Amino acid sequence: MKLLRERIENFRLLKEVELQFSTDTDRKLSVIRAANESGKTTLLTALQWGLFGDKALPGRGKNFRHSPLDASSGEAKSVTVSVEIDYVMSDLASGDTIYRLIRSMTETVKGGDWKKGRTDVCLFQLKLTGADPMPNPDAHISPYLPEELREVFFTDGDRALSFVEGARDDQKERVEGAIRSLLGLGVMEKAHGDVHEVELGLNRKIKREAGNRNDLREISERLVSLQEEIPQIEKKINSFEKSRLRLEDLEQEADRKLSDALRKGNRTELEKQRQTAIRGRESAEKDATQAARDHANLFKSEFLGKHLLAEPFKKAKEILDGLHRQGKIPSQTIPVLEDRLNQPTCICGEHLDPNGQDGQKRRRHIQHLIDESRNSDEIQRKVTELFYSAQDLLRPVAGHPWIDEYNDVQARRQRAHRRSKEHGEAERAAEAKIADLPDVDIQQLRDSRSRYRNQHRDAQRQEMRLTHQLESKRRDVKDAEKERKKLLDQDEQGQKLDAELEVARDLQDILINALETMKTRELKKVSDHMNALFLEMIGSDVSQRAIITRAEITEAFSIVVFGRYDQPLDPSQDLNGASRRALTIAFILALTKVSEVEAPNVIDTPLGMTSGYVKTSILKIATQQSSQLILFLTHDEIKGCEEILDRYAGRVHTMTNPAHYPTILVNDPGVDDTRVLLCACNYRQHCEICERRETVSLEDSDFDTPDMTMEA
Amino acid sequence: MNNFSSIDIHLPDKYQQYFQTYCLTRVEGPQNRPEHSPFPRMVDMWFLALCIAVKEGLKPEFKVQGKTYKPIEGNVFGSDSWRSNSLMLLAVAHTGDVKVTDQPREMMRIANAYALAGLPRLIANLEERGNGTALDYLSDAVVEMIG
Amino acid sequence: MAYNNKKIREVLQDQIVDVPQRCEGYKEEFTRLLVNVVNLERAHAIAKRSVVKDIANEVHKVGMFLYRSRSASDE
Repeated sequence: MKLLRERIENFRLLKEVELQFSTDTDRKLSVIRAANESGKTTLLTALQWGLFGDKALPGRGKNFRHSPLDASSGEAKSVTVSVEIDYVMSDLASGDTIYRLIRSMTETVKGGDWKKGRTDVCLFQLKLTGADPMPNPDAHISPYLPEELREVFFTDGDRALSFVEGARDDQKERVEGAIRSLLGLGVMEKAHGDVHEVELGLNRKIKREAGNRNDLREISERLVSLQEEIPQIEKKINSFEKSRLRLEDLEQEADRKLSDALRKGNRTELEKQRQTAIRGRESAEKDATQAARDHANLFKSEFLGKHLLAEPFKKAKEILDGLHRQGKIPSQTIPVLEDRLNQPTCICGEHLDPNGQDGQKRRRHIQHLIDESRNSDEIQRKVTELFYSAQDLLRPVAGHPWIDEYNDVQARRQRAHRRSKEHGEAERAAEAKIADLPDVDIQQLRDSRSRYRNQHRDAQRQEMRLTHQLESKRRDVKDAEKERKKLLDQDEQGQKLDAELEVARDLQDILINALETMKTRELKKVSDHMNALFLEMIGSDVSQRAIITRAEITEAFSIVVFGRYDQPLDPSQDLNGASRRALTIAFILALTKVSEVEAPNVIDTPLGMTSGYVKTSILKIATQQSSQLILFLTHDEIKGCEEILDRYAGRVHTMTNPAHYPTILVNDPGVDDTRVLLCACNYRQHCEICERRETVSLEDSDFDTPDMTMEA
Repeated sequence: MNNFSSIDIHLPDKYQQYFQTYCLTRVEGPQNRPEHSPFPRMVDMWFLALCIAVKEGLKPEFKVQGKTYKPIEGNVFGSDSWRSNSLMLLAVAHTGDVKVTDQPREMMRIANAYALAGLPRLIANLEERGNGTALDYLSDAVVEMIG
Repeated sequence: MAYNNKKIREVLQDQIVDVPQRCEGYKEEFTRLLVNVVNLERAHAIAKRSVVKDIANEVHKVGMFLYRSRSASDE
């Protein structure tokens, strides 16, 4: 199936829009260029409503207003909303057949209220001779594009991320849902369940018709009971598996939080480190202060005085030494002279006889000397004291002891400062880590991890217990069936029923095996294809290729990514935005490719969060892998992809919201009401309607605002 | 024995603020740190000024102009006999006569004259320190002087 | 061909090989039955009608074929 054309009337912002889609096998891409808030999401919704009806609308259409908001007035008014879609079906036998599907409804609007009317849907086969009405339009389209595949084929870049983001059991459910739908697993499972019902019915019949054959009735009762029990056990296993996965997620999450917290540090441990650092810093500061005091004390040091006063000291020393040489220092004159007066002779050998004239003369002279000395005694005493007590000062200084001491104290101060700085840094680092600590205590995190771990193990144990139980019940069924067969073979009616049971059993076996094959072989094909596309898409994104080695879909329907040494990575945590987008688009493309379903892939804003190589390679690969690709791209997404679009784009339209004048648009579109305008400009062109200002571009900033029309 | 116990040192008022800034005994609060106030006592600053004057061969300043104040009492020399001796030796060298040792006031007058000659140099040095600490800036100057 | 019928048919065809030939022509009858069952499920998905009874009828037919073939070969 391929889309040819879509015409929309009065669907919210899209009052009158007609788009053509490319069906050229060489140029499979159709592009709708539109800025944010220019009707992309509305277009995607309108397309899905046209194909699938109200169930494709947000909230399955409940409280969804179809008609434009400005269609209301004070008076009650009817507004007809319609979506007309032309599509082509190709068949080897009958070639191309073109159909026109028209879905319309009339809404009565008044002020802020609206009332839905009946939805009409009609389908025509378009022939050269005219349009033939077709019966049951929904049934016609369903086998080619069933509702359950809607979200795979019609998606937006952000929504598609839910295949790899969010809670793991939700992801798994979404991935499983998409795979089951696309591979037809649902049909097979339904068939298997129905054949099982047939078998149960046969069993009940055997029981009913057993008559007086107690053995046959008993065995049939046993089989009925076992076959009723088995699906319940399977259901329980499924439920425990779901809880196990959820608890595994919770445990991993708690473990991650604990690891993060532990990496950031244990509050108690960090506080201890901080206190140690504070003590170290305080001690170093004390040492630094003491060293500075010792340093200051050097300015009153004797060495410094000796150095600086060396010159006058030298001079004074000469004077004092002179006095010393003269015998004036020490002051010994008086005792010597007094002693002489008691002796018969003088020092010089002359007699000192007090009776002789000469002797008396000499004695008077000595007495005179004694008196004179007594007068200068005080000075001499002081000089003598100075001479002896200043010997240390007067001795020349050897080397530079003050500088040596200065160097020592300086080194001490530097050491202390360095220590203080180091401890200060450690203190600040500990403080920062403490400030950065999540507001939870480690013990609490440990407790919740251990709680989840226990619950997880418990669920795992229950799952295993029930699996064993299931296996045992299945063996019981086999034994009972053998037994029953023996009993049935005893009469004709029994043989007939047994033949039917055998057929039902063969059917169930083949359906189970086919399901198993699809789940393994086909799932592996999807997985391998997704991996190849994904790796090709992120090909030269060095930052990601260095950590990603492969992607895989597990048998439990989880999309997982592996890093070096086959370490599993968490796509929602370890992959950047571009890689996550590449992975989801690779998944969708692989799924549609392997299913061999020929339907258009319609993706709104597929390239958000991507740039450079990854962006162009997603675009290129998506086009090559799709049977028909319709993309809604913002101007920003188009940037850098022009050459690829030149090569693959068969149809391009531009949608413009006149409300963007004058902030984004250059020209006044001259429109009074709220509506989206369409022009045929491609990604390199602009016209009077769509010309934008170079500098102002809301979507140039890398965020997507939801379409305003959908917010209402 | 302290020859100067009863002789106080008088300095011009203008030096008062510098003694308060650079002597630890007179500083209070967070600035009371040897890095900022490198002299433990005022006598240490006075004595270093004297030494600088001697070392640099500055002419002693015997005239004390303007109002004075008494930052240092003579009894401080009682605890530093080497300083007391230094003042005496300086006086002996300055006069060339040991008789001066019997005249404590004269010896102090001489010493103070040297200190007054050295103080402007010392203060100028401390005030020039910019972002450096007084302790380190002064140390550098001293190392240069004796090195 | 409608969407994943091709894939389903491909896989089922691979599996048919392993179905035991319970009597002469059983595999052929069984293959027809299988196609019918899948088609019934498809029709059921669109028409929303009970399919178990229809499948039971189909199974009954093949069961009877098997019974008759066995009886004939026994005689």
